[in-house]
Amino acid sequence: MSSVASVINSTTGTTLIRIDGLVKQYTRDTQVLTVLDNLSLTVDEGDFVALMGPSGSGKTTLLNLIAGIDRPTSGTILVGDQQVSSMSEAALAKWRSANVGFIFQLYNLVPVLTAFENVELPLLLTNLNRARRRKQAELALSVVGLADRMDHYPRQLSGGQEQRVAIARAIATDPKLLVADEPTGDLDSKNGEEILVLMERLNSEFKKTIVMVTHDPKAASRAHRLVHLDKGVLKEDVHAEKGKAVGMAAAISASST
Amino acid sequence: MKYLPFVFKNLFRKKTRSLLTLGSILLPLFVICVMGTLLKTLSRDPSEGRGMYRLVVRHKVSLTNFIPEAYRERIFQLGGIQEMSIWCWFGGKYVDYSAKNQFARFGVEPEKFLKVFDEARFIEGTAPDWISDRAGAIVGDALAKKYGWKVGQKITLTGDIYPITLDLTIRGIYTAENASALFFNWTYVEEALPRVKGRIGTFYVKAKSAADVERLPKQIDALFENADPPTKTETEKDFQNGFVSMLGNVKFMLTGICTAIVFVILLIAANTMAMAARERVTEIAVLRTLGYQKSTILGMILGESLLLALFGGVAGLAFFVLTFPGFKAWLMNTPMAGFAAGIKLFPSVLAAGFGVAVFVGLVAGVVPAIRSARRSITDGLRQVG
Amino acid sequence: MLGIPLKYNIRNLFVRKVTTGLTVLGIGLVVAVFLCVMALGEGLTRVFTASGSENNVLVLRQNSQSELQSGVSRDQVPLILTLPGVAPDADGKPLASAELVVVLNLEKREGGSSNVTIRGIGEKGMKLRPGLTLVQGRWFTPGKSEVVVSRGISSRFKDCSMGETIHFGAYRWTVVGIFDAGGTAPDSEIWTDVEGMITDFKRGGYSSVLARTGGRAARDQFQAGLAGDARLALEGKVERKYYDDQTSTAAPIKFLGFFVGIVMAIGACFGAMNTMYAAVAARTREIATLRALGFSRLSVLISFVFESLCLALLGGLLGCALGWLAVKLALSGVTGTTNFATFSEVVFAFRLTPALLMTGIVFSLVMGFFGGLFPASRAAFTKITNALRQVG
Repeated sequence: MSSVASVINSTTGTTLIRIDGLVKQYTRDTQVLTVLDNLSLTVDEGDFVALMGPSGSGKTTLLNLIAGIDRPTSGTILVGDQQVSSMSEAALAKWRSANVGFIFQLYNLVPVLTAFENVELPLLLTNLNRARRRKQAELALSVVGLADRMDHYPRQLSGGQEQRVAIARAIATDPKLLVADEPTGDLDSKNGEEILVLMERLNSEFKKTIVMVTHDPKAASRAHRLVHLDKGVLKEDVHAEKGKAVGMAAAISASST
Repeated sequence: MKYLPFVFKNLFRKKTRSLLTLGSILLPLFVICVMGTLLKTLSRDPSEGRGMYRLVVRHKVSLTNFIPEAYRERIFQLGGIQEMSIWCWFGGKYVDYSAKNQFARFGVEPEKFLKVFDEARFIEGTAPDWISDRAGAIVGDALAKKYGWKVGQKITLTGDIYPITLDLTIRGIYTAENASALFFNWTYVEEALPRVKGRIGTFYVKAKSAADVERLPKQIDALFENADPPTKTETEKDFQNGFVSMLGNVKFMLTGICTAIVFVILLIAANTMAMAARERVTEIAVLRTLGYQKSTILGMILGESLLLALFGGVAGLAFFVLTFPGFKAWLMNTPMAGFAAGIKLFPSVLAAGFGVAVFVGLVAGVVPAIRSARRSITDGLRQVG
Repeated sequence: MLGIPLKYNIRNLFVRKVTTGLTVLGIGLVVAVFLCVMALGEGLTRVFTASGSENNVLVLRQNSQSELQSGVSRDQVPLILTLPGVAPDADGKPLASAELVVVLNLEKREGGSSNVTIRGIGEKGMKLRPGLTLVQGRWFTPGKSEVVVSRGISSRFKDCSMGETIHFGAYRWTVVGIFDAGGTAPDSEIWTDVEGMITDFKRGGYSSVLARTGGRAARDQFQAGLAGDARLALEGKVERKYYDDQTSTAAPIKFLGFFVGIVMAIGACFGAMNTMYAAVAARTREIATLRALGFSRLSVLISFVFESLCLALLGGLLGCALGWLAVKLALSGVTGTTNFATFSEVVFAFRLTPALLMTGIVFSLVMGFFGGLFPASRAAFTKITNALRQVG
């Protein structure tokens, strides 16, 4: 049937992301600012990882590097069998369109396009014809439960609905990896909860590997694994069973404020 | 092509802005078309589409000096001449000297004239009517339309070069490429002013072949080189260019204005595209995260710019074409009347206008497109708004 | 009433460098084009409005629009000169000059050809035109086929430099002097001795007679005398008015200037409107904050109209500078066109007068006002609560 369904069976339980000796520095005027310092991390396929840490700790930078929209100063990032850190810009773009789905804090939907058209955006990059694109986008929207809002414009949707459309857009090309940057940061608790449930479902039912940056302990508690980043260094790497992470996350969060 | 609907939606994202930009492309393009039409009219080859030049014989010193009518026989003897007619500028005034009552009035020999000016067609009245009436005149349809003249109507011209008042009756309305003159029988003036007899302004000569056109000017001028007065013979085209040259550097002026206008359109379109691209920094970064290539972003913004300019351009051209008849009629009542009479819609002018639109579209979009494509994704995502 | 400080608007203009720059440049170009075309028209107009004297009367054949169309026979001249009103010269003879005007088709230096007026003057001809100065060589000697050429004609036509010979069929004239008439009509002419010219061109008489009258009353008397003699069939025109009547030569250029200027101004106004709408949109929160602080709608409206006026004024100033530079550098020489009233070349220079520059500034302010009005009213009617909630 659909390619979304085909992923369900393709889960192998192997490593999806392998990061070694990752360094990211920014140069502002003459000052060199080290954001990530010799960081290593592996993420298994099918995992749901929460990245936590105080503001300016480099969470978003790490997320961007994994997703291939930023370049490391040194070190390697392997996603699947692709050396993301050394790919050309054009190859990266192509790779992203097939392998990574993005979810942003502010949804970042295109205001002049309908929900359907927003979801169709990444599909325009594929070889699919119009009819196939339509089918795929409808499927993605039905996964997030908004098949009936297809022709609505972003301004006609609530924040939670907008974020669900954004998630539909992220999964439209059926990528293995989803990266989310504060996906609940701009939502009230009820809507945030719905989004988290949806992400859990994408992880368990559709076997999406998810890396999520958040500072919300409640959101982090949904993850299988919690990674804490502080001043460019991975200070903790806690394997946690679902539910166990709650207390841990709360503790970390409390200590960092 | 599959990105086209998206590009379209972007184009009309800010409706007020898009409409204002369309307007600010449309109006200057209209001006460019007007300038281009004037330029084209001034540099037009009067023999275009007719394939045969007429020759104009005049006094070597200037048009305001007269040559003897007796030259006719000697010119005819050179051979290769179909027919020739006296062609005398009468000047004078119709109603008053204001610009809106200015038009060309020539005294000719009707029978010969109709053989020389053989592309003229009567749309009202007939040739024999005119030929048989010594005080008859024919007028171009453009003039007849402007003044509402009918066949049989009387027109009074008060002379200034020639101290005589002509009471003419319209015997025909003709149509031709530039039908904006009045022709009457020169005999009328000759009979009223005996001292004028035998001294004429110019001869219009219709040659038999292209070779004759080539040969005759030199031969005619050589014939009268040491005579008094000497002559100057030119093709109708050179004769007309002489008038244009007398106007001074009009071509330079019109071309200068057009160039400046192209820049104005360019600046306005570039401003619109710069504003559009700036507002979409985050959105473009999002598209890039989705896997859109730099080249695709570049193409989409350039495409949007091109579409914007094309919409404005095509609207401008359409506006020009649709308003042209009214515009021309209006221009006939302005100080530009002398230039307006000969204007018409030239495909080459419209093509040039279209070219300007394409040029503006591509150039206006280049900088915003490159900047958008080159901005790093992480920078773009950081930007708020 | 509380006004928003002007500094606020001016700083905002400089913050949006690209947009402000593009808009200013656009308005500037429109103003510059307008000014250049109008400077052309102004220069041409000036030739006519500055030419001729109020006390000179030009005698022409009735109904003649120009000297070229006119004719005065030899035997009419003594009759004219004995009419009351003509002022006598120091030697007791009437201060008047019977003249012949012919146009010659001469080749221009830049290519092409045009008609140039050659004027034969009588012995009092110079005295009737005191504004003339000889800048090179000497005046012509009667009877020797010598001419003096105006500086403007000399620079624009072939064979018209000092020492060269203008020839035309059997005619030959040596250029012995160059004169300057301060931008008036003689600056487009070649002068020689009238009697020699009549012989050269085999004319039976003169074109016109220029006579000095002793003041207004004498002038009226002289004109009445001419009109009163039906046999003469002549009329006298005040020389100044004769030239004034020819200013219509500049009408097409001025018309073109206004046409291009106005249509382009509307276009540029739309451009300014775009810029101002974007400025208002980008500052919605700011506007709402100002309103929340207690600034009235009217203050916001005035503030934004003012900003637009500043934007346009910058454009206007730039346009004046561009126009001035263009006229000073690229268009500084004399140019010419044909005066179809006399069927001959008029030489003139671009004239960018202070009044024209002011017109350019006013022109830009009008663009700024209309360009700013609608965006400013959008700003004034911003809903405070909505705008404050809005992000970015």
